[in-house]
Amino acid sequence: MDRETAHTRLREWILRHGKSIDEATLTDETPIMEKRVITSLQLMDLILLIESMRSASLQQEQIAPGSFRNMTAILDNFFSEALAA
Amino acid sequence: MNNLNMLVDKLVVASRRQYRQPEEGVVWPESFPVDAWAFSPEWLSLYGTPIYETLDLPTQQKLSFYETVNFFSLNVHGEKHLVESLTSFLYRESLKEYTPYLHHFVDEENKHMMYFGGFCGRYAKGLYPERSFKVSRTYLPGEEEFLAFAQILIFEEIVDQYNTNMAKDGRLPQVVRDINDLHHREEARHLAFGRAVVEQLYRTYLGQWSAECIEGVRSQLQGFLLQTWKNFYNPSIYKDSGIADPWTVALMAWDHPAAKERRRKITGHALTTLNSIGLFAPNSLEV
Repeated sequence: MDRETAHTRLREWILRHGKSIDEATLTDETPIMEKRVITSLQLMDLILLIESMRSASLQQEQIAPGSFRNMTAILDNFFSEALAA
Repeated sequence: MNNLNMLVDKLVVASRRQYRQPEEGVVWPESFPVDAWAFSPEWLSLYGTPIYETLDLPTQQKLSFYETVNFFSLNVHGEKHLVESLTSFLYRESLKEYTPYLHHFVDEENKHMMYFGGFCGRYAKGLYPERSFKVSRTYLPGEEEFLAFAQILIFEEIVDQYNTNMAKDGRLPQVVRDINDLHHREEARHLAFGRAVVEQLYRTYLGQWSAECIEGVRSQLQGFLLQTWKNFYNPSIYKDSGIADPWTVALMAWDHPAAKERRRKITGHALTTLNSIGLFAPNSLEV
């Protein structure tokens, strides 16, 4: 999946499932974990979404706070190879 | 001496009497049979769902092996957090009466991780990754301790029902039964301690917490319960078992009525203490 498609699906998912966030407020740099837009519980669903978009399981080292800080971090960490390809 | 102090003394004596080296208790076979059940089929995450009936016996048994790897992995991850919390509580003034037993608790949990991790390292490619991480926050007095012990209790009450069943299931290889049995026997003490501590902490701090704080505690435990259960539907299990589209299967299995009913039954028993102290009404939590 290319980065642009991943960006669109990710943004839609956060707007649908995230707390206290709307289209105008959510940017690629919004700290979604720190601001509790995404809870620990929702993180598990987000990991499932990312894995299904990549058709690959995440490794333990990838499941770390820095990887999910904001949308830019998620795209850089999980969809940069697809972009290069 | 109050009831909890007496219980602590009793548990310390029992832990000393039943102390064992981590190398004792499990005989590890050279290899693990591929044509055997490794997990009671009726307790598999897909059991009762339409996809389960489409799987042939070798795939069902392969699924049971990877469900065991997942179950043991989530025990290790859960116990890592438990040990982290308990060691941070050692010699804390508000919990000092429990410290003698906390040392045994931590020691026994460390051994459990060696059994569970030993299985995954010997017969699989190691543990499945933990699919979450802790987000730091601040707590009111007593809130951190209560949440930690309540989460430990929920987790252990759930896994103990699996352990009790697997330990008795004659279809499973001896090594799986032994690991489940060892865990269950020591968890019986941990559960007795956990139930008493949760009650004691709740009685101590309830009057100091606002309605908003109590609602926050409820919400956190509800989230923890769902998080614990979601770990049982790890798509890596299905992927390694050769089942197509494992992420869709994970979502389908989670939502299926048969799986919900299984979670509801197990959770009902697991929440007995939290219901009895009045934190939750029976069957009020989403599972």
